[in-house]
Amino acid sequence: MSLSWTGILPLAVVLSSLVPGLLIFTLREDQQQLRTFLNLLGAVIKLVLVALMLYGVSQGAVFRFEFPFLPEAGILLHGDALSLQFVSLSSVLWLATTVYAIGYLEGAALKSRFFGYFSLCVSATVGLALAGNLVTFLLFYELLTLATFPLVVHTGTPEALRAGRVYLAYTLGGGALALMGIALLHSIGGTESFTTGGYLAPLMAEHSASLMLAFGLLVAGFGVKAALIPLHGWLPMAMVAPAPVSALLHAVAVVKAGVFGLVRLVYNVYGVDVMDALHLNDPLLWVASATIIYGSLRALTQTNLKKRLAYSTVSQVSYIAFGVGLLGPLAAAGALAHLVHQGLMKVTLFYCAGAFAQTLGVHRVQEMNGLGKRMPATMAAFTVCALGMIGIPPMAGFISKWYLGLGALQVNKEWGLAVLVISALLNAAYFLPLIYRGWFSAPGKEGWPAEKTFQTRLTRLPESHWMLVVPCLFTAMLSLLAGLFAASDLSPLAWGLLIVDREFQP
Amino acid sequence: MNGTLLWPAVVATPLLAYFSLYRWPETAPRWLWLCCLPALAAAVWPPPALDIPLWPGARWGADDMRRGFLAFSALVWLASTLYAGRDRPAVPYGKWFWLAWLLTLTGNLLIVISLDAAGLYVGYAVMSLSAYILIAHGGGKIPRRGGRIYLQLAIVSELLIFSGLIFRFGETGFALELLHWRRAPAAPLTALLLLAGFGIKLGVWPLHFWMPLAYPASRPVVCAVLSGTMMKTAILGLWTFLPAENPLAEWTHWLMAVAVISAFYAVVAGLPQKDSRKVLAYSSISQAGYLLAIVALAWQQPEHRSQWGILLLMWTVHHGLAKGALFLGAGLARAQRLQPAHWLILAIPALAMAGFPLTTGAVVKTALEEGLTGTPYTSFSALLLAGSLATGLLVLRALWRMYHSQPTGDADKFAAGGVAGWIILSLMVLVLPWCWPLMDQPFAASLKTGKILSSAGLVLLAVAIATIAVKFPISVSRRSFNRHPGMVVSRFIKALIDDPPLPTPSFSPDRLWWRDRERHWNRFWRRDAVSFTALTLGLLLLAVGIWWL
Repeated sequence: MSLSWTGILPLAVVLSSLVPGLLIFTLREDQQQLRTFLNLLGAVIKLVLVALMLYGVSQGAVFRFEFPFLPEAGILLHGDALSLQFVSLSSVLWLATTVYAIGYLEGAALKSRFFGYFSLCVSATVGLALAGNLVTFLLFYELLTLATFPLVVHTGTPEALRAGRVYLAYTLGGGALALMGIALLHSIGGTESFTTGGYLAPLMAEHSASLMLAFGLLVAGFGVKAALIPLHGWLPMAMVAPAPVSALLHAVAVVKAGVFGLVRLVYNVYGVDVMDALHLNDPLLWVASATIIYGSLRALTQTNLKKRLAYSTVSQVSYIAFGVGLLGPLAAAGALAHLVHQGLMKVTLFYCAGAFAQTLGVHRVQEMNGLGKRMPATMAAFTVCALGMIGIPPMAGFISKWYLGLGALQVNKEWGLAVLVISALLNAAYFLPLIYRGWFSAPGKEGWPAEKTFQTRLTRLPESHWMLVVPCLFTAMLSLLAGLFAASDLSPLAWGLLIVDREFQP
Repeated sequence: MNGTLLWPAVVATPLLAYFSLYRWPETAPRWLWLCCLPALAAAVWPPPALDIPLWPGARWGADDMRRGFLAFSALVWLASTLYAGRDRPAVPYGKWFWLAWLLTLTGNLLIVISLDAAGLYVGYAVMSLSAYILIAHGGGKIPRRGGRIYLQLAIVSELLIFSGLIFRFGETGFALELLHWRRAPAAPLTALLLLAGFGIKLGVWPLHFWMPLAYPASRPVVCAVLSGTMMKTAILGLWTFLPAENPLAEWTHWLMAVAVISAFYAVVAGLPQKDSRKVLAYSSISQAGYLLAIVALAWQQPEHRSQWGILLLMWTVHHGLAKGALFLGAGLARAQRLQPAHWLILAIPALAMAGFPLTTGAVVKTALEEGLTGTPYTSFSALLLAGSLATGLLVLRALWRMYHSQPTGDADKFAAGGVAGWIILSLMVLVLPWCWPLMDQPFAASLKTGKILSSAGLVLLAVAIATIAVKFPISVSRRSFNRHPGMVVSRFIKALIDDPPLPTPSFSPDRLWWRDRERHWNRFWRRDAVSFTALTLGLLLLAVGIWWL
């Protein structure tokens, strides 16, 4: 094992949040400044390291770190283009969410515990993104489950504990299924590192039945976190968690981990050819389409803002699974771009929902009337991202819908377009009334449910704590720029196209 | 300086101009009209096209068609912004209005100068959604209702166009630039999706029903841009997205039928209306029929596509300028008592709409009549005469209602600057036949004695009928026209969204049933069933074993 910088960097990226996280656990509750410093230090170091890796990968460098773990399956951290798409998303949003969480939890108890697990959660996510083979992936996948549980139940209310139990039941069950699938694959062909075009093609002639079974197990296992129906039940319940956790859960950590597993499975384990030969993509496509429509329909009936957003996640994350299942280059580019776009938009929506709840006590959709006058900047961020979710250009969501639609057409699945259009219609039906209430309805006469005033030295934005507002604006701006400058080299779409180039033209 | 930088300036100027409202909240609105100047300059001296590093394929520029669109759109926007900037209505415009106004302007200009499909769609979305604020920003029941139906249909239209566009992308082999789209044939489904999507914006029968609700809900100056330029973007979209070759085959006759129904139904429905904006809205629906007819005719004769394109452009420009001027006039009539000079100026666009000689109206009608010979629709020239008469009547009705909408007391006189834009628009329909080279030939044709007599005669006939109608008023029930299908549809959609008829799935198992099953099993074990079964099985095994040995 040679310790060059390309070998160290993937490990350093994981450790940059793990070490501060462990240190934070040792802090006393009142060591506020040190905790904040450690958090931000970790987030910034991680960003720098990721930027370094991004530059390296775009220049064709290979980042590999491995040490022995199981026989024939070591721990392997490997930075390729696909993992960096996810790693950069999570490190950027980690920084934003840390700032947000500091503002959100001001005055709350048990902050050391919260931020400790928060950092562990991000470390697990990054490790999972950098995982170079299925065994490593599974390891971080389970670590993620365990690191997230304390965050979901953080408030400790009976409702939160119940949501936590459901969350554990679902995700541990899913983890067990994934474990079985991975063990099956390991037993028939060993565990190789993720490769472009998959590594299972030689086994296809002899073990097609086992491969299909393993695929089913793995999709079910990853599908739990990706909230594919009928395995989505935990996600809307988990919205009782504090807003920063929901934001992280829905945009970066858990949901994305599941769907990222699907992406890895299809492109780097099975490969497009095997998927096509065994007709594995069709069931995935059907489940994803059903989830897209079902999630939107359920979102329409929710009166709790965060719950509506949660069902919207169920629907939107399946766009990625849908694009992956289409098995075409354009659809893949759309799916990979949506991985980032959805993260940026949904994180903003949850930040905004949290800011509304924290500042004014607004939890329900009916209470949103007139929010635009009281919190214009936050509401503007909410509007930009809600429009993006519908797929209105020039927001980011439009670009992903555009490429997914083209991708469906490219592989002659015209009905996929119908799924996208129906979903967009439903998205409009449950997002536009919120925007309407916020800007055009008069606020209720009895005032806000629970208004708080923020008095800090830095308060320049009178609507709320600046640490709640600035992250909203930051991510909303990113999601606008990602759509507007989609053709530039730095956009998620361009990076997605780069991955697709390497995937489909070996 | 590089001339191509004019293209980014066209789009960016209105956006940047918004920030001037923060610096000079009082005076800035008076000068916002300046932000239409880059667009006007680009129309007069078009620089070469420019690749823009925004979404994939973004490219801005102007061919001949777009130059015409850009020129008249910029002019209508300039006049309307001038008007709105000096307007002092009871409910002031406010920052919201101006933000929406400038965003709408940006979207509209983006549509016109985009040479790629995605850009056109981006502009279309920005324009359509911002226009919602323009319609609904006043608050109150009527703007809310009008805005709601507008927004619902705008979203439907967006999605129809989105699906049509994706299909069209497939048909053109994923070419980004619109230039390649002209040759690739389109499937009927694609054409239908795009026709329906743009038909909503164009307001063609039977997709028109949002217009009579949305127009009276908005300020006249908003109607001027809605009808003057925004509905025209649908024509540009249809013309550039769909190919020269007829995608509808023999179904084009039906498209023609829709166009004719649109042209005449709107007159019948518009005549009994009281609100001048509503009358003019119906007039726009009627004119949308003519525009659609020209598109259908162009498909019938792909070999003459460029001539039809020119006619389409001329008609669009004519109607855009005249209707913009009429709506601004309607606004003026609501703000102050009009002097004879005002009525004289107002008569110019009205006469142009009716096709009076020496105006653009006469020119485009002559050109359409000439174009009809050689198509299967030669006999439609009689219909065209009837249409002119009908349009004349409708415009007279609009003027009549404007006369009655004037305030009775002494209202403040309108600032001269605001009136200037209106005068420019009104005079353009007189000036254009003399100075626009494309109009030379049909203008000359329209000046033949017979033509002059017939078109002037029609206008006089319309005036005569109108005079009789004023002397001997017929009371017509407006109710049949006011029971809008649009209202019904809009309410239905709202009810669906507010209270979706979706059951909440419940997966809670029937505990009693399961308990029952469990007890059943328990009792089953308690009986002697187990020992009996075990004994039987054991004996059987023993028997089999013995037999085997």
